[in-house]
Amino acid sequence: MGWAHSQNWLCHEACDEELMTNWTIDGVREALAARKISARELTGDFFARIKERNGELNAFLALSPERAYAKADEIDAAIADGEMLPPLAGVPVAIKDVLSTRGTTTTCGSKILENYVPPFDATAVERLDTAGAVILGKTNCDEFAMGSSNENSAYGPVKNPVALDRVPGGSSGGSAAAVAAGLAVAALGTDTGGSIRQPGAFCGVPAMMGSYGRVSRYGLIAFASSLDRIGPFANNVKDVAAVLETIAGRDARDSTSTTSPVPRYTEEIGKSVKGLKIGIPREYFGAGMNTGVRAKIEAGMEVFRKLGCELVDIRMPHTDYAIATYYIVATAEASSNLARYDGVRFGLRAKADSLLAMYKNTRGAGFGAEVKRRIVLGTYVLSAGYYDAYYLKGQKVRALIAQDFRDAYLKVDAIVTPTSPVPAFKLGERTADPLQMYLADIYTVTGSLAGVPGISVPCGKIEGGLPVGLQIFGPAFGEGRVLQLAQAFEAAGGAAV
Amino acid sequence: MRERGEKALSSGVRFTGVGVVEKVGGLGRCARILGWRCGILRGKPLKITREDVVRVAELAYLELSEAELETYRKQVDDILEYIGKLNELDTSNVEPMAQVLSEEQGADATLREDVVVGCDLGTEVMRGAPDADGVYFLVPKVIER
Repeated sequence: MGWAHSQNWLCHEACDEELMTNWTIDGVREALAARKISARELTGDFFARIKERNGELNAFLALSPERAYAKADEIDAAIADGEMLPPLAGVPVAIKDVLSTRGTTTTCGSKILENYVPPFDATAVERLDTAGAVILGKTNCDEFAMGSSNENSAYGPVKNPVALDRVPGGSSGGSAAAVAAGLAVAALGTDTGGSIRQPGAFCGVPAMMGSYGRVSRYGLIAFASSLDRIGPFANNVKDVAAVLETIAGRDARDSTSTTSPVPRYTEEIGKSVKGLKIGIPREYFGAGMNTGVRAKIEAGMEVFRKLGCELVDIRMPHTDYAIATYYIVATAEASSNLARYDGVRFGLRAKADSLLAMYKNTRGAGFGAEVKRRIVLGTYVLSAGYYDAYYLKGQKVRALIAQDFRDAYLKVDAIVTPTSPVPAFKLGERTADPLQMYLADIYTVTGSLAGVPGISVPCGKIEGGLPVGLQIFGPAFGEGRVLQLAQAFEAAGGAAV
Repeated sequence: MRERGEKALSSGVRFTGVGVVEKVGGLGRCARILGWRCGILRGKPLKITREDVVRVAELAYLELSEAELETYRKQVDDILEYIGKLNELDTSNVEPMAQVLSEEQGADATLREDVVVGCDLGTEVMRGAPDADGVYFLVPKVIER
């Protein structure tokens, strides 16, 4: 990669489009420091690429050129003055549209927030900004992050840049597509049941969620508060580490962000992974797994073996109950979180004669089908008479799933699984049956429920050039170990198995 | 994927097609009494009736069309059927997982001093409201009767 983007700035004026997709954080830093390109020029290049590609991809819902150029000029001035540059100086980034951005429309992919402009930045956004990143704009996503294909966005689906007739995954499909298409060097997404890792797998880019509590969610518009996490997409694992260490850490404005210290993840990676024990849970290789995906994951496991890791056959007996548990817990929390959209303080308001009718009409007109379905399900599982049978049961099984992970980490350092049983599917292929769509998250929801960190890294391509993602789970607050393994895998040619 | 889905479904409570559900659809109350409460309706007992969806939509202040009511009833019924597989597990001695973080993971940091801090976003917030006079949010009249 280093060579590829050093070519970038050398041939900046008449550069080959292919090379331009490979910008990395190190590449940007080197190019800026060597004054081969200015931050303003680089920002302009990215907006030009977005203009060229977004009509077809629909990855961005809003752009923030004023803010981006102001930041770029600030970086250029700092370079001119010979100042020390912050770690992400001039790096063009994209932000999923569920994260609040001061002065830039934040819709959550929903009609109910069509014209909502937050007066403040989410903490994760603010930290990127402080680190010098150039915020290009907001990326498309499933409405309120509810979906696995991006087809639930009120603003149309995102196309997978790898194959335009296929979904980019969801719900952070716009962020994944933006990075994969070279429209941003890195992007933030959110993951509630797989919404970072699965689109990362479908679009062929590394994508990570840290442990629950690792990144402040202040300013993240809530879907399911015991599950939602913010995390990065980038072109390589080192950049994922760089973005994660920038946004991680305690924030007084989010009481669920922990005081647990944040290691320098970029320094943790690169160490030998020899002797590490990797658990391979049998339950993640069941029927219904695409044979091409299976072959690639097995080849990926071979890469770890060659790196000197010990592969250990483990059992995680409650895996098969994760989807059912997830759709109780997530919808229950969603039904509560989405109660705030009442047409009073922000967003859409439908016309009505009475207050009650205003609430109902606003919500009926503003929410899309998947959101309504989940509100119905979530309200039902919490309602009198059903709470014990569904919600309490779900919370108990969640405890068993979390215990599966704790038991596994007594024996192994990390767990490796496929990210998704299937590669990116065709647009429209699964929209008719919500349950089938939910089952696409079968390998990702487990880690979401348990609160552990997980990454998806590219692990070869199957027929038609469709990327496969390999998932690595670590123990809670074991992000360093996860990134170390992911980077070793990448460096050993894991993306081309 | 589809294979797996169907396999998983058949391992839980018996899954039949939507045909039976449709026959019962117009008999909400009857279905609930006979099907859900007693579980003796032929084919598959309904998990959620049309009346349940109406009640839930009321609770959630959600206006649903007739077509939506029926679509969601059917789909949510399928999902609840699938969720029924959790009953395969004996959880009588399991503590529910009410929060994700343990104390050693920093959950002890969740309490802060209860102090008032300034926030000067009032004007901007009011500007974003659908209807406001600058100081108050305006809504349809609520004090009547």
